[in-house]
Amino acid sequence: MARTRNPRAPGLFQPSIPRRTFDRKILGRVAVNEERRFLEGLYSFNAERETYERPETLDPEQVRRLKTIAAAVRHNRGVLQPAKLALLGMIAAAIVVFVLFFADALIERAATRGLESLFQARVEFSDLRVRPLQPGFGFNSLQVADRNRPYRNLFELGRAEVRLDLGQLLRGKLVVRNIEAQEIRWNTRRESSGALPPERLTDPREPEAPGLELPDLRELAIERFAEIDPEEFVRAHFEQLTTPAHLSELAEELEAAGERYRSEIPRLERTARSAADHGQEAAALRPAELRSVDAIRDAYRTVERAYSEIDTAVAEVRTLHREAEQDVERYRTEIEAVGDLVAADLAYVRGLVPEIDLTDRSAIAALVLPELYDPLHDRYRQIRTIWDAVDRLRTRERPADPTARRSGRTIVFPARDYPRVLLEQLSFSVGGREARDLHELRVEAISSQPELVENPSRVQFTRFDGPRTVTASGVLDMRGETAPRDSGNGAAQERLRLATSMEGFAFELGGRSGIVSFDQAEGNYDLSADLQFARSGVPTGTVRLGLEELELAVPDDDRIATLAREIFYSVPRVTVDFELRPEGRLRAGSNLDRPFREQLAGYLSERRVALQQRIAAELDARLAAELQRREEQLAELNAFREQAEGYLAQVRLHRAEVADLRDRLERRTAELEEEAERRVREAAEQARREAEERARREAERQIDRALDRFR
Amino acid sequence: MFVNAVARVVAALNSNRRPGEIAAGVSCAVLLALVPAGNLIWIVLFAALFFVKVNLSVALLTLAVLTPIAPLADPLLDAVGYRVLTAAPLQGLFIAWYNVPIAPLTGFNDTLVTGGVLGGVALWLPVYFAVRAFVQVYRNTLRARLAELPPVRWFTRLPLVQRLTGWLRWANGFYARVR
Repeated sequence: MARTRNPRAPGLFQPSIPRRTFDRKILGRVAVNEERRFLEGLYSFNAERETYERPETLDPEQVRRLKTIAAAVRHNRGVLQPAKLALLGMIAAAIVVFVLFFADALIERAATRGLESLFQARVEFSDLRVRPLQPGFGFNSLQVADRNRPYRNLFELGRAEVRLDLGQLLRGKLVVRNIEAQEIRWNTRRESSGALPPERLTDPREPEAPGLELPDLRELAIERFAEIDPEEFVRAHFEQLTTPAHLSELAEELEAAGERYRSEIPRLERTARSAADHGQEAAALRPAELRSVDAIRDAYRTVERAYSEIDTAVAEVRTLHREAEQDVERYRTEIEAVGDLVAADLAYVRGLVPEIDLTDRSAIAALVLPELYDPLHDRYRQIRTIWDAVDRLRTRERPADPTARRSGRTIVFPARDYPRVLLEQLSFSVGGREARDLHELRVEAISSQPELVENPSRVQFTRFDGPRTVTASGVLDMRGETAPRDSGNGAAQERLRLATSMEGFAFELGGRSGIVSFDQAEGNYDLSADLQFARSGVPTGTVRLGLEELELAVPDDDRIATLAREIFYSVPRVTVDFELRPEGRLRAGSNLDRPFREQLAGYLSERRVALQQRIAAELDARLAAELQRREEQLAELNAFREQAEGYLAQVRLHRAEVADLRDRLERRTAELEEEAERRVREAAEQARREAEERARREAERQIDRALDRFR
Repeated sequence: MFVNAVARVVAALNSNRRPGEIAAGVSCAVLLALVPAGNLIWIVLFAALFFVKVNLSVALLTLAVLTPIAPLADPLLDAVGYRVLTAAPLQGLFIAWYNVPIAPLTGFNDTLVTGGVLGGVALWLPVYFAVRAFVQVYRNTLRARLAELPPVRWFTRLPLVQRLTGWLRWANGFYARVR
């Protein structure tokens, strides 16, 4: 038999409940009057015990209802939802744990991506650790690659500590209070390429071409003479000359004329042969043997036809001959005129040889410039790369998009407003001034909104290394530049002022090719510069280079190097001053300019003339070969002319012979006509005489007859 | 979906829940509707709904109903917010707040935010007591009368409403057992 089990009431509804508990914790939490009345009906108040009591046994319906009420009572207890709060707490704890475990990687990734987008090259941190209490982070090393030279680092920081402003970080602003680095190195070598893959290049603009173009100084580089190869020089400028074009045109015309005349030769031969045939045909006639007028008349017609044919041939051949003659004459004239063109071209090519005008220019500056230019240009390019990165930081500021979000008026309260990104200070210092072993760098106020920062960005660099000293200080003032660079507004006002000096440095150079070739050059140098860089255009300012204790080894046979050495040795210190002017012109001067100029001018003049002669000879040789080819073409044309002349003489001879035959026929005709006339006249005379005789006889007969009759 | 929400509200009105839960839900919804969204204050208030015992269904439905019409109160809220934010005696307090790192994220210097918060807070208790009284009256007297009305009877007989009511009943039981 199955055992039936009485349903149990919820634990909340004990058979006996203290009055206070029943009123406050049960009845007070029942919101529906029906349920409340049900409980009040179920429980009765025991005044003695101050409790509410119910029957021990309940029917199932009462139990079900009590369960429902118990659930509602439990739900209506308290204001907070502990389960959800506990869940929230667990989620928050999980986030904290996640951040603690992965914060290093997350910050490293964020910092890497941020710096990569600024420098547009790979950035690599080593052993980055978050310091939550500082707050900030530290790392063992940081390498920032050079976008323009992927296998070099723009700079490399050693162990460093970065201190952030947590308050500003909560506002979404990255304010770096300080970066303390223990080592910094510039332009170091990389094992792998530092170029970013194209998809990670956020700024696809090509790095701007450095504005440090110094055309005037480049022109002063006197070794250009030695770099000029006459053959190459002529080849490079050949297309610009008049003579080759003229000769080429002449060649085409001669070729066309030769082709034409070559095609006329068979016709000439046929014409001449035909004329000869006609001549022979006519020559076969023997006028003296012709006895009858008809025969002569036939012969005359034959001769006349032959003459006509030959005369046509003569005209044809003469026309060709005349054309050939005129062509030969014309082309000969043109070939003879090439001489003048060649002379003009030679003069032109000679003029192309650069003339080094040493007047008002510093030859000493030109000598040192090739050595000075590249290192300075490298430094300048590095400055521009960092400047671009700072600028990129600024240009990423975007005004807030106007949205349709509900908002009122914004009341601005006085507060220190920080830029979105600010590096207040980066400092690095090793060693001390007293020990002459100091390496110090200080960077201040690099920000994404310079106008929010009181001071302009500054860089101060000092390095003492024994006798060598390098100091540099730069001020980059981008304040007031609210417009992004792309807009083209205001960028021209950006200025970087850089003052730098280097002292106590020694140099040692090997020989270099050029008009001045020192086998070896040694000495000490110092350099000071005060430059202003505009965002666009060339820098302006001054650079002074000093050279001392020079030791120059020159080849024995190098006149100019010897000359230069003597001049360098004539003073204890050589100074070279460069002044970069706003319009891009550069003035250079040295304390050795005048003596060096005087000595050098004569030598350079000789070299220039010699070079001009070599170039002229090279050009002359090339043009002479071309001319020779034209002469050969003209000779071929002339040969045709002579051939035509021969044919002309031949057909003219035939025509003369036929003409002579025709004359003879005419004379023979005249003779025969004369003979016939004579015979006719004689026959007429005879007839007349016979008629007269007959008439006389008739008359005599008539007379006789009359006489007879009369008689 | 709207029917679903209304059904949940009706179920809440008729369930054994404290009237204060429903009243708090409406009060919080009024406060959230008056404060423009998109700032830390609004986000915190909205998140708090999920951790206190207010009736979420009532709160969300009320918020959905009030949000489109809340801009009608903007001129008044803007004026209130402007007067408070520019009140000379409070400048020191506001400047101090403004310089607290996280305070600007609350957007308190927006006149509408401050006006909305003040308006919402001022209305919170009156709305709370009014709604609570209404729920009590409803449960004590109106419910029985309303239940006899033909449209209500028709509504409660809808299969969806019955399913929902059953589901809510089951969910409440399950929740109670789990706890």
